[in-house]
Amino acid sequence: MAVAERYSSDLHETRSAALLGLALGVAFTICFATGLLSHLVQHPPGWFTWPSRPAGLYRVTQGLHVATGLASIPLLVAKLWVVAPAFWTTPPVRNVTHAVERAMLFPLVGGSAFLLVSGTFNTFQFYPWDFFFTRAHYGVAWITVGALVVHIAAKAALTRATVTGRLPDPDAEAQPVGRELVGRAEPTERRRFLGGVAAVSGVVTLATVGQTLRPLRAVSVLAPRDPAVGPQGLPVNKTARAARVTPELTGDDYRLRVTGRVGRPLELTLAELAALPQRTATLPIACVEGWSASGTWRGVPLRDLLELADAAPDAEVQLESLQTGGLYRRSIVSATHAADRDTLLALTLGGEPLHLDHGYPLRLIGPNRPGVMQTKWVTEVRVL
Amino acid sequence: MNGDDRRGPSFWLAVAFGGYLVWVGASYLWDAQRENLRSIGTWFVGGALALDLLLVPLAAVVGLGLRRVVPAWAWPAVRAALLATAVLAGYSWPLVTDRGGQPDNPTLRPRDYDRGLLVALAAVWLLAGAAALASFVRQRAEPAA
Repeated sequence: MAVAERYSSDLHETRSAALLGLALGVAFTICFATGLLSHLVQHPPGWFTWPSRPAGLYRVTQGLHVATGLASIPLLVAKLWVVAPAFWTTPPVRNVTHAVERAMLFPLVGGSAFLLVSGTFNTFQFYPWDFFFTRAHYGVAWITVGALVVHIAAKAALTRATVTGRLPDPDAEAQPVGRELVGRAEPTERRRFLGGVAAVSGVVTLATVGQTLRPLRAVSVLAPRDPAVGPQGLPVNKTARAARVTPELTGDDYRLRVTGRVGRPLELTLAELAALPQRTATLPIACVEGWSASGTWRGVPLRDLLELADAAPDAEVQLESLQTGGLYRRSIVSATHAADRDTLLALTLGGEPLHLDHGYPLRLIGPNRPGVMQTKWVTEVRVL
Repeated sequence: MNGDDRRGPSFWLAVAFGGYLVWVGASYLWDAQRENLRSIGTWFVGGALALDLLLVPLAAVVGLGLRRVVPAWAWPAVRAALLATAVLAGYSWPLVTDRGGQPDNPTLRPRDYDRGLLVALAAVWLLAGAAALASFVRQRAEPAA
């Protein structure tokens, strides 16, 4: 107690801790739900079906994932500062309940820091570590959420008493379960403090969210992407060079092959593809890294091509890229997505042939898909 | 003051469920990233230690120091601006020091981030100045208690 009393600011108090905790609880729930969703979309178990509509849904969920994570950085720092005296509470452990509660704070704090730092650095493609980002981020998310469940249960009564205005004075005899902080701030002081923290979250959001909300791109001076910057006015996640796709691979010898469970296997040149009926769709590239940008694409609907090859109408397909290595050289197009009329094998963007970095000569672009599943440099459509 | 530690069965149910989720995450990492557990552990433990043993004490020292020189009416605005400065600078560190990225992809990190950070910090401190000024004027307008 001695340390806690010396470390004195009125704001080391239950009400500020509870309100920041509520905000963080909401933010982390959004992050976890949207992150889990993104994982399921990319690695769908049998029971999971991801719709192809609304076309911009993934853009919203993943944009929210990154924006909420960034906005929660100041909340987490402020929350830890408010509750700091409770770290040094004496005795460090009072009984089994208290020990369990405190033990779970370690995965909560360590996991939160891990997720926010690794997620932010991933949007910069900065990897100062050995682990594989997506897997580590996913595994640590479960650990953090598990610890959060325990923390919420430990502080539920206290938070309830706080928000319903039934929190007794710190000197009162009876205290809600879990109360450890002795500060008591004036309402004005608390309002200014929490208002300041909220404003900082707002500043961080404004400085970055323009990577997905195009009207804000001018104020998002610290966003790692600008949705208007790139060949043909669209950002690129993996360049042709990084994917080792050279102009020779996409020259006159290029063919698209339609194989697998088809009545009529096809092998089409670029000219033959261009001669097929085309369709135009305005669809976003929505990256897992939180940026997104819309383009006007034109190409052959995948379902028309499947019909031409005499495939089953509910066929699921696997696309193969000219890209020789990497995790994302192939992607699965579920029956739902393959049947959507706007799921295109696109030949043009904004009325011009695709830039090599956008997947020339042919790329997949479909509604409501993560960017990494919009396979570029498509050379084979295999019906499964 | 120590909180009352009595807990009902719902707490212990939450401990069981939360513990299960922790196990789900840990066993996933064990299966999928076994060769990188040391690296994951370093960043996990490092994150907790950096926050609890570095950032929070640093905030306390800076706060105690500055509170002596910054007038009370300006303090809430200065405190928020300090938090914003720390968060924005920490966030931008890999951008302004040019760490990571893809050399052949100019669409990743296309902006001038040195300028961006300066602009963002200038905006933050201007806003904080305006808020402090408003608070000063309000205090002067109110009759002394």
